[in-house]
Amino acid sequence: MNIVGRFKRCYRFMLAMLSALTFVSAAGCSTILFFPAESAQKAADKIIDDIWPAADPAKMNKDMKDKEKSANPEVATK
Amino acid sequence: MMQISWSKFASLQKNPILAAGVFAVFLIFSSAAFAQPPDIDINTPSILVIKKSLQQRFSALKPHLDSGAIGVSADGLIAVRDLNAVAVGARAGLEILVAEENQDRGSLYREIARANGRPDWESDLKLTFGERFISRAQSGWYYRDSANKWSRKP
Repeated sequence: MNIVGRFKRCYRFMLAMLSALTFVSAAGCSTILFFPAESAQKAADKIIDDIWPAADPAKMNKDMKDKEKSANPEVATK
Repeated sequence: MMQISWSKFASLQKNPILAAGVFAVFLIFSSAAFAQPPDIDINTPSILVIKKSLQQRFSALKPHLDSGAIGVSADGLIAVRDLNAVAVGARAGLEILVAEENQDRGSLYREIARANGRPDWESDLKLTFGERFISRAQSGWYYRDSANKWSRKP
């Protein structure tokens, strides 16, 4: 293969590599730059669980049962 | 025993476009590992302090949330809805309570954004928390949507 052919092959290879790297960088950057809405919702729910213990009826019932258990462990085990 | 087909490697060597394609697929799959959305850290000492303060104030706020004097807002804060639901002498106290709660909530969003190295997330966090506060509000509580319209949770 002459020098021009080698240069063309090398050029095509570099071009393909560049497009692949651009794609991957774009995918990576998008995850870094965009606000993680799902994680934020989970974080918000965790905080609400802590600051509004009685706001969630299911949690309120669980908290009541836990309190009863800690106040009277013998009854709780029966 | 599995035989490695060296001819395939040779063809990759001969065809740079194919080689680049294979490399790109490898990169895409390997990048999937770090492409997972990061968990938001909410366990820094300053966040825990703010959370404790919010936790302690809730018992004072709850009767007013129940009566409809105040409600949760889509911007992640609480707001006075109907001062007539409160005795005249207690109105100033309620307004102070709401101001303190909102100050803590503002600090919470700012601190979460800062703790995660993204101060620009503060406004997104406010809206996300606002949406979750409304969604988790008790039946009968009032909430104010983004159009400033008050509604009662069914």
